[in-house]
Amino acid sequence: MQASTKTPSGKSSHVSRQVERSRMRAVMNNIILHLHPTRVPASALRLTYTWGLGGLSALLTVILISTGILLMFRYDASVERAYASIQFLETQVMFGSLLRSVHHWAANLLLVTVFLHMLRVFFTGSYKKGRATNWLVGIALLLLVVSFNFTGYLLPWDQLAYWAVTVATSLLSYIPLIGNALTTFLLGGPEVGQATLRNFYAIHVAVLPALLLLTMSYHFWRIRKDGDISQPERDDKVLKLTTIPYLIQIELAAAALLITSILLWAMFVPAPLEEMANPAHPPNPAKAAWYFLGLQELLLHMHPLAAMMLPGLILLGVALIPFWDTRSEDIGIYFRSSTGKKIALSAAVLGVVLPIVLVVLDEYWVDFPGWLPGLPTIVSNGMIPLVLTMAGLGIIYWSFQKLFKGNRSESTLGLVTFLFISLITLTIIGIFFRGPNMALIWPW
Amino acid sequence: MNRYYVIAMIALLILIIAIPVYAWMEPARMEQAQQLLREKYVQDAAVMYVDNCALCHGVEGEGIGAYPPLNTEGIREADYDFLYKTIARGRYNTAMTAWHEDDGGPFNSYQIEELVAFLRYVDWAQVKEIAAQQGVIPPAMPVPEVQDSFLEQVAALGAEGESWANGIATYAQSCTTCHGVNGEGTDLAPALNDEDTRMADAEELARIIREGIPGTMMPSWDKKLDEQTIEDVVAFLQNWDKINEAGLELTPPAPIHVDLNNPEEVLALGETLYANTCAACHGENGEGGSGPALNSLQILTRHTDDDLRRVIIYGPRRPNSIMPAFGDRLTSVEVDALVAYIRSWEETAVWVKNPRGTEQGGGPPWLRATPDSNNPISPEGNRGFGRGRWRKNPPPDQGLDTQP
Repeated sequence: MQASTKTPSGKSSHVSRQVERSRMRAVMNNIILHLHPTRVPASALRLTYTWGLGGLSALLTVILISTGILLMFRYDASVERAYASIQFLETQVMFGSLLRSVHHWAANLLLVTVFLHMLRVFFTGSYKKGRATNWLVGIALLLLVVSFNFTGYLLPWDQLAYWAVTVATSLLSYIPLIGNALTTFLLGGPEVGQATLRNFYAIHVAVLPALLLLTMSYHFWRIRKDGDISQPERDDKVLKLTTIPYLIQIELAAAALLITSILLWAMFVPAPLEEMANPAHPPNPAKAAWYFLGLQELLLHMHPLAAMMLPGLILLGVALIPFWDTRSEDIGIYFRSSTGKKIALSAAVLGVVLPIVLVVLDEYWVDFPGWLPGLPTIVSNGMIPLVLTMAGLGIIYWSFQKLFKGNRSESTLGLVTFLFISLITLTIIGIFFRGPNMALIWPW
Repeated sequence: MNRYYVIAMIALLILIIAIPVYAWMEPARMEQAQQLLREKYVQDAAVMYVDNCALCHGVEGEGIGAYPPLNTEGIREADYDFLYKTIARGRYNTAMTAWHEDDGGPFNSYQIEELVAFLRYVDWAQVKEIAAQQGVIPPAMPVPEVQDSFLEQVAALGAEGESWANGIATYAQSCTTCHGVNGEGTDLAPALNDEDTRMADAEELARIIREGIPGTMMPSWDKKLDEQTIEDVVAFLQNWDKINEAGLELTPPAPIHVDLNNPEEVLALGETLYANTCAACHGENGEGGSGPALNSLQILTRHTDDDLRRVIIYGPRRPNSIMPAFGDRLTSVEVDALVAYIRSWEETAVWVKNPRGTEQGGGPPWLRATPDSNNPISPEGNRGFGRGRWRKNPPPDQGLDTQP
């Protein structure tokens, strides 16, 4: 193709294309070098250090925004038409089913990648040395992603959506003082209905994206400000490689792999769509979305107020970790030290075994309200289990210090590892081992 | 080229191949999705139909009395809007009420669309089966079933009892759809079980039944009911209070809703069906009567569920058996419920010396044979009855097919 345009200097277009290319490259490199430093430590390029989880989450966000915008063209946020509009999308629109499928799976995968990203940052102690702010921003992003998923869950208006949201919002009303007002505000009325669908839609497509983009930008900017990716402190001079091409080529490969695998997965496994929402027929068991099932599991064992306070306290504690564990010597090292590795391993084993034992015990034996009939259930089934749990966490922390001679950083690592693994265990119990009436079942 | 570029290139290549392939298959997928959606609409609507429409239009859309049949080509090919509006808004001056929630009905637009799809695509013979598979068992009859014992009780009430019994039987058959099962009246027609009717002139009542009331839905019955029957109905109407005082009432027919995932409900359905269908021959608790004792260790341990199912659906293999095949009358769900109920006896079943009631199960083997070469128990077949051998090698034409 022979371009007819001439550059102001009158040189031939062949030269001008070369100039154009180098200009474009300069602009592109500029964008990349705004996000990344010019040179990165060679050791930070190891895939097994970051697993690329932050970058994958960012890419998933881009995928979600682009597919989400396309979905908005056909989606109709009314109780009468929402479900039918999805059936229309699935049967009349070329690629409609694929689009919804990609959005669905990318959203679920994003929850996983942000959680794992958080684990990676925690295990490598990357919240240390001035990174406390970004740790807090990261927790805010996690909450945003969960809210995204939760509001998006309702939109198809099928049985799954309706009852998962009904179950989850009923929890909110247990928040002291403001619970009922908050629930009514969020639902736009006393129960899940037309107003709820509109509220969730507006929050999902306008409020949360704005918040997410702002917070994400700040999150990225903060990484540069905090001195880029966390690395162990070393005396010798570290080998540094240029970002272009050494970092970029890895990101390119990861991005291509992620996009291809999501697309292929979505082609073969369409997003589920159940019966249209029917307020008269609750499914049994009525479960919340899968990522809330760990919390729903707590509800089976405690008064709702205690079941809300426990994760709230834990989240608060997790947010405050950077201010408690300030030892900067072990930053950038997975599990801090060899002692830390032992502690983390035993915490992980404990996090699998202890919740299972406690769940089974409570299912068949423990019965505080029955043992203490004189007390109101908020005490017997709420405060007592809550205090016992907190005391148990204290004992776990203390035993890591005593048994393993762990320092503050390593013991904290153990305690939080236990909490994370317990959450995963409880979630798995909730997903697979709870049958009709939320009784324990054997799934196969 | 380093490995990262290779990975990226391969991923890109897969994308470049996968997307056109998906696009090429997309029209077929959409076609299939529409087909599935139509089937789903029909399935959903079948339950609504059995619950709400079948009492007037019949479970198989055959129409009952003055109500139009729906299983016609005319309906199937009717304009979509015509069907939608008729269901949503009702038909003026007829018993067809408005079913859309905007007009006071129970259905939303989506459900009415499902009903329209149902009218256009359903195989009417399958409605009972579709509804049953979703846990709704249609009433066996659109009108209350009247047992002989009930009529005998009515007849015993007084000198005119015979006449009342004939009257209430006729009423149950022809009048309940509009006037209500126990004369309480409906949206369609006034109550009859009240003082006004009882005080009315008998001749006047008979005239109304004979000639109908022009301008209303009350048709004239003189061509369908003979004079004596009309008199009996009037006699019954004027003495309804006496029948009620004796504690005798008609039971309204209603679909039974069963949670098919709940074994107890399925068992209860099986028990009801057994009492209605099987108990007369096989005994109330399977102890046997004119039919074999099913509640026996021999029969229950030697027959699998599939054997029981096959006998219920196709009738027994034993020659000259009087047991009919129930395949056309029962849906697969009902058959399964019956089998589950019969099977539930197995744990407590006792060894019955002679479950068939006759010595050695109907005489010596050489007398049980019939001149039928297909007879599985003919001596040539060397297949003794009750030894379970025919089960292992069923003839191909009678292979296991539990669908009626």
